[in-house]
Amino acid sequence: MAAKSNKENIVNLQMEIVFSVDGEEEKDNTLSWEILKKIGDNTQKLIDTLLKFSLEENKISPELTRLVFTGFFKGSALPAWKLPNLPNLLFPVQDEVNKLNNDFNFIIKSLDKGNFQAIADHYNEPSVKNEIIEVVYDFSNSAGTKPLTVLKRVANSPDKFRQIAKVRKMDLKHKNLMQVKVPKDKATSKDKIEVLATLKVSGFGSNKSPKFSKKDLHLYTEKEATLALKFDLIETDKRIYTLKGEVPFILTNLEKEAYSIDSPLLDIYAYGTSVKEAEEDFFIQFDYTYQRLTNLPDNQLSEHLKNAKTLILLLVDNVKSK
Amino acid sequence: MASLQGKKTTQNLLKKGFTKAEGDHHFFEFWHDGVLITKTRTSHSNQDINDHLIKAMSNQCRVDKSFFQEFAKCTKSKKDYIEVLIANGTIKSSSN
Repeated sequence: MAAKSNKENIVNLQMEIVFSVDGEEEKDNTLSWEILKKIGDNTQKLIDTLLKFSLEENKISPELTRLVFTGFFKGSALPAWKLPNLPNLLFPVQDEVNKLNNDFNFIIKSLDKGNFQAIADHYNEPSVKNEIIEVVYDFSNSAGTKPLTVLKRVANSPDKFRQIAKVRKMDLKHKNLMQVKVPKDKATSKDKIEVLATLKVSGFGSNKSPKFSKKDLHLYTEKEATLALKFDLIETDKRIYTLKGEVPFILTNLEKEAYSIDSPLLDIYAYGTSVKEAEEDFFIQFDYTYQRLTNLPDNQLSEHLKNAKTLILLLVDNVKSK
Repeated sequence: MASLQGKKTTQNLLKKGFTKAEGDHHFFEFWHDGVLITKTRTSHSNQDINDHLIKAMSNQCRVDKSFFQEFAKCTKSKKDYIEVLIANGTIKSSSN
């Protein structure tokens, strides 16, 4: 079905999308590669996912919606991207790009209002709803704890920008509440097998710094599991932990509706009737372990808890209280 | 599959020298000679503790599952527990 560009759109992906990251480190017009990459990657992931579900037919190639980096502007840290110019095609796809742009604007406007539920309500099919929520969650958290906004050039003053939307961060609690359980027989056939690695840490108890090395590879076939377990940050009701290393853990599907996430090195053994529930248990225990162990001197800890303390201090970049 | 009564297990852990962690009543700690030796947590709302949670708790308490079940049911004492912890190296014998 043909789609026209919505007049109420605030962003035109074919023209430009400019973000602003506000933080102490960004005031001198610099931005960490990690955040820049995350914003780009997560925006692309959002576009790819919207495209996948917005069209009745796969008429448009993903190559045509591959973002290109267009600039980094002064004033703060202002990276910008756009969709590439469309080539002359036998079957024009401008209508499809308009539809994608409308969907993208809907997401941005909902995030601006903090109306995450509107995004969830917009998609009926559970597996689609879950996938959209997942990519929106990642996108909204692209800048970590730093404020992320969408800007637009001021008309007649191309060097000046004005804020058009705040990208309000979806927290883990909202994400988990909005996602719905998908019965296994209804799971999408596009689910992939993904590989996660656990890490072996050596060097404890010696004068050398602990070293991380890959130990085992674990295959998980449930998309829910793989998506939920890439920990960039750990969020509980009380605190947000930003991590600088991968959390070593083993996820096990014990039986139907029984999952464990074990991290013997951190002395954390989490359990739940779903991956999400096990993840939440893991996060609560991670929070308790960090707070308790780091507040006790080493001489008041048994050997394995001292090692857990050393590791958790290596993994956590910063902690923010809510 | 084994299971333990949540409320009873909590009471028995406290009898065997575990203390509730400050700020979160689901966490329990075992201290010996001024050193935090092990920590674990129980299920929420005193729900029964199923086989998987028993395994998780016994891992954190540094004992095998069968010992933990007996410990939680009070057929093993605090002294028995300390002896196992010394034997498996969790408690250094010099600190005993």
